Amino acid sequence: MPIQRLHSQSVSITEVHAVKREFYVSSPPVFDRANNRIVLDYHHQNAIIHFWAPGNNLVFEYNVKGLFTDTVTIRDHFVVLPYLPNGEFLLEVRVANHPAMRPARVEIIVESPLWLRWWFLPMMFLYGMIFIGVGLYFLYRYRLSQFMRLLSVRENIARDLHDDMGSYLGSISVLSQSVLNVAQQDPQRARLLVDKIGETARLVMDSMSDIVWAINPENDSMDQIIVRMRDVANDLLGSQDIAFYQTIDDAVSTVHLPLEQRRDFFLIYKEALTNIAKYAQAHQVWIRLQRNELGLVLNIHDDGVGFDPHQSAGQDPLGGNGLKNMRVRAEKLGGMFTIQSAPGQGTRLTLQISVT
Amino acid sequence: MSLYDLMDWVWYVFTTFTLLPIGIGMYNWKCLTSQERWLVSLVLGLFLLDVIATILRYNYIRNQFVYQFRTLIALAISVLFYQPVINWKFWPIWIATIIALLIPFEIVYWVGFNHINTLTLGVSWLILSVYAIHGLNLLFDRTGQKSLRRNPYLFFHLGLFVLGFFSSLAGFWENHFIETSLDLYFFFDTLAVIMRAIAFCLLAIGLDCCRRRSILVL
Repeated sequence: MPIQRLHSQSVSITEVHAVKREFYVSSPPVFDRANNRIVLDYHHQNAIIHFWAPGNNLVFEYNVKGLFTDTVTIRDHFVVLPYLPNGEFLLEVRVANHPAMRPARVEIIVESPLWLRWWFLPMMFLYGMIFIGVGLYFLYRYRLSQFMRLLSVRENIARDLHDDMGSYLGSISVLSQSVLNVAQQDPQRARLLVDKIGETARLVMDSMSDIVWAINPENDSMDQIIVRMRDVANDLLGSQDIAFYQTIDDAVSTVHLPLEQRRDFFLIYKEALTNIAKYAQAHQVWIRLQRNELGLVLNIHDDGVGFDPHQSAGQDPLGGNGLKNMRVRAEKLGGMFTIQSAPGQGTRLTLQISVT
Repeated sequence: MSLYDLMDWVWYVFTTFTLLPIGIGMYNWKCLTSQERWLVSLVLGLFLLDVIATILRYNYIRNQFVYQFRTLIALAISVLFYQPVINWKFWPIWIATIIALLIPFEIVYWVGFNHINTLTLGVSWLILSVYAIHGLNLLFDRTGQKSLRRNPYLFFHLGLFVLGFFSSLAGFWENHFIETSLDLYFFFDTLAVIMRAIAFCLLAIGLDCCRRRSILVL
């Protein structure tokens, strides 16, 4: 065979198989250039590659660059490449007894499994970082909200001390000064002023007691509120010989009122009983506290003289600020506050606050 | 006992944590709102699906359809529990409807009947965790003077965030790993079931808070 003829001929890849699955069939089956490529999946990572070359009694030698270090010599017309690792390889097949014949080359790419690709671990890391980041963010928000809550409680205590205690103590101070001024000239007036000082001091104690009770965490449960409500009713109504009937549903004890809400709720209740004791001239009072689908409902009904709830604030028989304060506190609670009353027909007060 | 048997037992033990919120939810049923009752019911649904999947597995019957129902439960939680909470109008319903409609499309045209609907499954859980993050943000914005530790929604949102986040992590790869790498499948499945147990504990704490307290809606 002339040398020139041999140069023009070459080894060619004719077929590629992988475990009974045909990946690639050359059509036409000629691989005379080294630009062919086989892409194998991770779970089908073996290949049977058939090749052909013109002539008889040929001895082939092949090498897989990137996988083998030495050349393998065979007489078969196929190569089996089992369990190929992930990566890119170059299979080169040449005819050993005709070195001038051009070899066949085929690039084999075995795809990496998903978890070995470059983006998988960074993505998992990112996923973990997102989780930790969200966790830290909400931890920060939680601490911030707790701090704000503490700040708010401190502000409320300071405001209460200033508004209630401050005004009462100021009154005591002024009254005591007046007593000193009039004690010699008008003992009768001085006695009245001392009585007033005593009454204001009792108010201070009362108000202080309310503040301390409201901020005491031991009173968080509704049971403690109920006990306090009974005590107040005894103190205010019992001293006036007014009979009162208190009905509290069992479901109420499952309610928890946070500090501010507890205080507003209790002060509305106390203000209502104070008004009855002072102005209603009632003989009987019915108090009902229940929890139903509307929320927490407080109902106070008396058989007293009643009043016209539509009259202006200036003519308010309850002293001007009592009703207004109750309404403001009910608004703070996000609840509904209603008063039904008419002269001579008693008064019915209803407070309804939403609970979940 | 092989490592896989051991991981099976780990899976069983941590799956029983699902019974915590179910039990506490049933015990406090009267104190729960309709949203919380839906949550308990859907957690019960998740548990029953796990039981069905295990029974089928022991009888050598394919149980991949369980994942489609699991996707629907994740979507149901996002609609029935979160739609009233997160104030996104009807968007949760629209999103859930679109994903629900994509489930048959994914099964028929993409992965095939005998495979897990990983994409819709993963997206559903991921959306749930996004809702939970938004819910937590709203909670922290609104609280002011309320005691957060007594607020059941803190635990609900945290629990559903953990549940959604790790279920989506496992869900996205489940189909791939179950066919290519059993080790990674077991790793992600075990990680997800452990984190789900933590999530169910958080839900149980939240449901317990419902009995012990009620927070005023302001």
